[in-house]
Amino acid sequence: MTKINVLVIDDDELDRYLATRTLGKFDVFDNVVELVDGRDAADLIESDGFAENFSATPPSLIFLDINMPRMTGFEFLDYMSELGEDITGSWSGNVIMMITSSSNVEDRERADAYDYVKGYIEKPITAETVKTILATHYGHLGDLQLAP
Amino acid sequence: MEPMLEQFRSAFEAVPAAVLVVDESGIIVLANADVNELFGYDTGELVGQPIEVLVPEDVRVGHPELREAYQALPHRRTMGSGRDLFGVTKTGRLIPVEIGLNSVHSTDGSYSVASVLDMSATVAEQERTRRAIDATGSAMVMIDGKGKIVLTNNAAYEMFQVPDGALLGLSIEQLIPERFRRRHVVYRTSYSAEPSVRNMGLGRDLFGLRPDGSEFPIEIGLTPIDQDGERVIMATVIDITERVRSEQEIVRQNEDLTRLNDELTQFAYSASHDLKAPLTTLDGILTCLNEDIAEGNLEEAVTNAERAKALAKRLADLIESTLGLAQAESYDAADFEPVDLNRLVEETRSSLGSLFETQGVDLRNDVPPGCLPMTQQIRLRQIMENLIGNGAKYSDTAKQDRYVEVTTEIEAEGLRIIVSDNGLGIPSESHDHVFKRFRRFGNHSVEGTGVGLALVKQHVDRLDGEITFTSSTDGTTFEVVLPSSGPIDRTSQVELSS
Repeated sequence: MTKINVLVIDDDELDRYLATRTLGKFDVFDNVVELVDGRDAADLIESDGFAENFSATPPSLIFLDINMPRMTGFEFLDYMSELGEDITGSWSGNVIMMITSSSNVEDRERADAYDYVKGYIEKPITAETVKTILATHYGHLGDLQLAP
Repeated sequence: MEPMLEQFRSAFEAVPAAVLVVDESGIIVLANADVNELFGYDTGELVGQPIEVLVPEDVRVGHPELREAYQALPHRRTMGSGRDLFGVTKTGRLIPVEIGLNSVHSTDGSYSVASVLDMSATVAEQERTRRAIDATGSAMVMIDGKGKIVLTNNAAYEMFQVPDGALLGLSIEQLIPERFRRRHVVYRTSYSAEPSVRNMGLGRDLFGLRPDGSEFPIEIGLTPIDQDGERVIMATVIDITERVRSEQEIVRQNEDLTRLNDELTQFAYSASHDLKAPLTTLDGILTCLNEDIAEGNLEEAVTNAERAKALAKRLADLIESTLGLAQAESYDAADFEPVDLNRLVEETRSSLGSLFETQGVDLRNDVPPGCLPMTQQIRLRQIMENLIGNGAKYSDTAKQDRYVEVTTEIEAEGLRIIVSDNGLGIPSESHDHVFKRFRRFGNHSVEGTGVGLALVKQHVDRLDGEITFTSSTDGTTFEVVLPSSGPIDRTSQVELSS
């Protein structure tokens, strides 16, 4: 069965634990990678072997926190935009969900300005949320086991 | 002589006023009943006496000369108006009088006829008015058509701090600062041309000037008065220094309130945001805990229970430091006093004691003992505790001889307090955000709330000081400059603007 790769980019250890645990209830996810902040995420994406390990089909699911040290979620997105077509080409095909504990309207609007950001979620990430994401963005693909 | 007098006698007796007739050598030849009554003499007593008996003693000596001068060129005239002319009665009492004088020529010589008007009632009336004007607390200044001051009251003398009477005869322009005088003459003359009851100085651009050169803001009410066909202007002057000061105080307080309100709004936003985060996580952990129990995964359940407790404690710490930030506003009222900085650092050493031990960091207090900055102790204490504490918390375990050092330098602007360490340093990307609330950087495993440096900055701002820092992987140095002249007292200055 085809699996979906997941990146959880959040500086808070407990938030990552909770996200990973929730995702673990779904069989469809493989290879949940936790990253501490935008800096580590950028390094990973630019590293060799990333393209192999993280194939674009089906697109990876990326949970991106906003408030992180060293490089915030928005700073990470800006950084990715500047990297150029070959990376962003496959990069933008991924499903990127911004996650945050903030209900700040400005943050939400800012997230909407990036066309490859597919959603904006307030923490915590619940099983319901994951189900909705799967249905919305992966439902059209055939051979995925979407139920938890 | 006799027949003429006889003719006049009955006429004189009939005149309903005090009249007397005096001959060329100043002897009274006729005095009617009203004169006798006025001056307290019996009938006929005055006849044959010199006119000088009715003249007050202090001017009696010069009177004959005046009389002779009049007789050289006799004409009809009025003397005195009650203020400077007096008669004296038989008992020596002085009466204010107005005298009408005329001359009569007859075959037996020339005579002077005088009518004497008792001005007592009028003078008393004037006195009453005078006292009323003086009794009023408002400063009143009356000027004539040429801008000369013709009448003032006590309140005016007090306001302008001049002796009684000193303002009479001055031009009104002398009571205002020089830079307004030319303008004022124009205003005055155009006002005189078309006077009305009005107020001036409502725009707070009018000032009074005292002999010592001091100026004060005034408001003036003008009333035109027609006095015997002559146009005068009565000005009521009010010293509005207090009112201006109060208004400026209100403006200042409004600005303060607006600023505090903005800060409160910002604060409420960031506080709710950052206090909510640990709670959502806590909620998630407890959900996991439930699942762990349901699945019989007790080991994980215990771990999660521990995590939940740690979160609760973190939240409690965060709330406490957030309250500390809010409370820092109220320290404005604290006294400024000389603070022993060396001792303050030692007190920090004992209050943070275990931190230094745990981290294996040495605190070096190089503040000279006599260093006594004039400041608010409570703020300086929090500044030092936070800066020194940070130095210990973020120490670099890879380095030997880890330390936090406190030194001072005296500068022209004030006292420079330097807290330096050889810790982990602040990442360069974060340098712009160092003093923002709830921003933390680097190692999250170290306990901290992200509030400390925001608090330090707020304290430094309130003390009118400055804070800067440099940082690298070799370590961090914070420098706080406290001004040597205490706080700026904003309440005592009234702004004079023209």
